[in-house]
Amino acid sequence: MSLLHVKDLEVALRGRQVLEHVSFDVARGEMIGLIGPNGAGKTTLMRAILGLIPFQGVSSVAQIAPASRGKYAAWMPQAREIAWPVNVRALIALGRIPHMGGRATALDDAAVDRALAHMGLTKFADRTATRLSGGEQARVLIARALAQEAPLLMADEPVAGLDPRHQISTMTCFAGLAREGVSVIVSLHDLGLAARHCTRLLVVHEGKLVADGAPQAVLTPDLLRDVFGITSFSAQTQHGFVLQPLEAL
Amino acid sequence: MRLMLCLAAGVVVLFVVSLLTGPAEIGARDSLRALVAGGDDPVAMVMREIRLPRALLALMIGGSLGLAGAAMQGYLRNPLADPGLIGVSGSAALGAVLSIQTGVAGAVAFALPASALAGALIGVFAVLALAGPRGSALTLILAGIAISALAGALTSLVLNLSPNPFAANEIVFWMMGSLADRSMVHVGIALPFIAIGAVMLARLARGLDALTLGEDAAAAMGIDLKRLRLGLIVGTAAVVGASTAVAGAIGFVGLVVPHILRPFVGARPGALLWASTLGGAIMLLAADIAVRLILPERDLKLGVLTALVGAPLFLHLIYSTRRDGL
Repeated sequence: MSLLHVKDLEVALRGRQVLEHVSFDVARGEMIGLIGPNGAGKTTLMRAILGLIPFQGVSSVAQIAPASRGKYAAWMPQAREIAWPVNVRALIALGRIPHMGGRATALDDAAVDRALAHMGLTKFADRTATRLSGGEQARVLIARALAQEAPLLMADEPVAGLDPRHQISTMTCFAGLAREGVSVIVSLHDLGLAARHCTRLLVVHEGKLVADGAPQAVLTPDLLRDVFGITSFSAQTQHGFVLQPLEAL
Repeated sequence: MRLMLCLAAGVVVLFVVSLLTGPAEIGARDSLRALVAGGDDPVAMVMREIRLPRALLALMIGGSLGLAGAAMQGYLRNPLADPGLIGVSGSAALGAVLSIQTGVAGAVAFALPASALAGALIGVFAVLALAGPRGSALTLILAGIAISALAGALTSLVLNLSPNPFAANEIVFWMMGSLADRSMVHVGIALPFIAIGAVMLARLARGLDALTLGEDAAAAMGIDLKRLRLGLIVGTAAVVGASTAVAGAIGFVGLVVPHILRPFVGARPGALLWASTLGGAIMLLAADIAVRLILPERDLKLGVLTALVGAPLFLHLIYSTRRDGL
């Protein structure tokens, strides 16, 4: 069954066409990497899918009533905002807002505990979120999105600014969620991570969806040259498909 | 929970102390008995007609200012925001000043608060029209500054052109803010607006919590930002407009109280709403007791005292914000 249906999605901002005719479907348990150069329209695409900006076309998530969208899709924006010095547990508990009528239940607490454990933050639970380092804050915000326990998780550059270990563990965590049936869409710039951890890549270039498929099929030398303007080395190894960008053209 | 009990106990104690404070020398037991029993004797008159409305107004207005301040800071995600920021206090003051100047205030008892409320209403519509339904927090601040500045300029113009020095004098004193010589009529005028506005603001708790993560994340979690903003503006206008209408401009309560209480609620903006409501009531009840004790014969104005206490606290706030490197 399709979890997300996007058809002929178009966005115009201030009279400029930012996205044109984007169509794709997402099934349960997919780990999708959204890649493309700066300004290609990745963030715009995700925000339009969530119904956060006006668009033309169809997005099945945006058709859901705004008040219940949060139960269906979790969103982690690129701007990592933590406005008040709340503790880590309270911040992650904000992810339960779409599920809560009034007070937090044992169910909500359990979800927060799982999210803390997933991101390796259990020992940070009582720390003040704003006093953590940038990378730690990023992990707390990922945990917040995880606590929402929505069937669709969308994150805008969640691994930017993380150290290599946490980049890998975050991608592994997302891939694990996908194996449990959650569908994950992450935008990212690290093609190596995208090649290694995603089951499917969507390539956006100048507002158009130019490629959609398994990493190995998508990340061809031609596409990397035309879209990203780089050369690369790639190989099928005993660790799976590996890609290393080499030179800017 | 313990915080709530402490604050509630503080409100009750100060409310009773406020009832027992005044120039008329009445014993504590006599005065409370007269308050409950009523009747025609002078003690009951003093308690029911003078001290009770004064204590009730301090409670209502202090709570309003604390609540509106916490909501405004939560929405703007800025600890330096003040409920007066959206221009309601300024336009309410203009309405009041016009009624004093024209002499209507002297003729009919409720003319002054009614005209101040009308001023607040016009002010809030102007802000809504200027800031637009979808605008950002920044456009709201700018619209508020513009309306405040315009109302302030018009107030100065009225004072400037006032041919009557007594009216000018009265205006200046009124603008300092006070709860002296208010009656149950004032309570009756302010109460419905404050009650409705407080309910609107209290309902924002969930949305303000979500806004901790920014507007995009909050919207994706199902928070209707347009409705949140409208609730904030109209709710603040109702409680602050009604407060200014009956008591004049009382500054710094809405700015300082949320800031002091924030660490005690773990900085959660939703929980800060009720804490700040109780805290605001405590601050204003205490300040109104203080003005009667410090200079009983000179009619020290409440707004002057809150500013004298609040401004140094505000300076401390700026200093500590700078120290934390924000």
